[in-house]
Amino acid sequence: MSIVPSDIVIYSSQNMPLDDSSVAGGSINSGIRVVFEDVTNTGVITAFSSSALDTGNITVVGRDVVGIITNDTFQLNGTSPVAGTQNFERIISCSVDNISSGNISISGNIFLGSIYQNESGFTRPFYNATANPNGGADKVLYEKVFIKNNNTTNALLDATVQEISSGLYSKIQFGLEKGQNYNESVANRLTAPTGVTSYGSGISGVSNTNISPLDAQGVWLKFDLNAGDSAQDSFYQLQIAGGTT
Amino acid sequence: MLGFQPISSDPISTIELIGTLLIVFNRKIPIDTQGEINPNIKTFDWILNARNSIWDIKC
Repeated sequence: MSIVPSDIVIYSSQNMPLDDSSVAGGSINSGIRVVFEDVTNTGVITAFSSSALDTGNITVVGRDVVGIITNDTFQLNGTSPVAGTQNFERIISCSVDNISSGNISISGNIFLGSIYQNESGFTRPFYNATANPNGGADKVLYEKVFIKNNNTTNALLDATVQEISSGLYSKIQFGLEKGQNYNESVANRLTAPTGVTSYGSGISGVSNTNISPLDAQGVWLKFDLNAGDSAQDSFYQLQIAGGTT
Repeated sequence: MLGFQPISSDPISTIELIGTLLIVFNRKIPIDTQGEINPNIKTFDWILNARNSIWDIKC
């Protein structure tokens, strides 16, 4: 069966640090995606599953209306929508404590994304990344995500990755790991990984040319956070292309 | 014989088209950052104290 866009998914790595001192990177976490839509108006979060078996707890982490990171946990009721009580101005992550039986739909004032069957959530990279004040040191942060081919029969042929010139494209570059399914981690997100030879924004072929069924290409995101940089609520966009039979 | 001669009496073979489809898609990763302000800010109390100190010196 041919690859369709929903087969190509960007997942987090096992270590998505909450600060500048914890371990970053490692192997793929095929339960946590890094692509979702953020709310466009402050409000509570609603969730329901496509399966009546899903009764686990949903935990939403985000910023409230005054910018404080807070969380809200509420219990799923199968296919019936359940709303949380906390108002969120933006969403940082969303997770379920039991591996989902169905696809769990998460919405605010708009549809944010799904926690897919057998997965456990989605998250932003660069949690609480903070620029130093003017006169302080510039930072370069590194965090890793994976582009995975979830198609079980076909490879993504001659796969390429490139940056889209929108959002934080001028602050972030990407670097592809030297091998697929590579599991390098770094001591903290201020430490550059050694398994990447270069960073850039232009079109780049993946290691091994193709992404075979259920394989994943590690992608380090290099974030230049200069002293005095202002706060941003934005995104980074990658374009993935390839052939399918 | 008038007109073109057939090149071959064999049936015309099927020409294979390229059997792959190019797919392209974009993925948007939400990212936010915070700016840190310089904490070396003079408070209102500090300014009042400084003014009192200057006044004391003048007196």
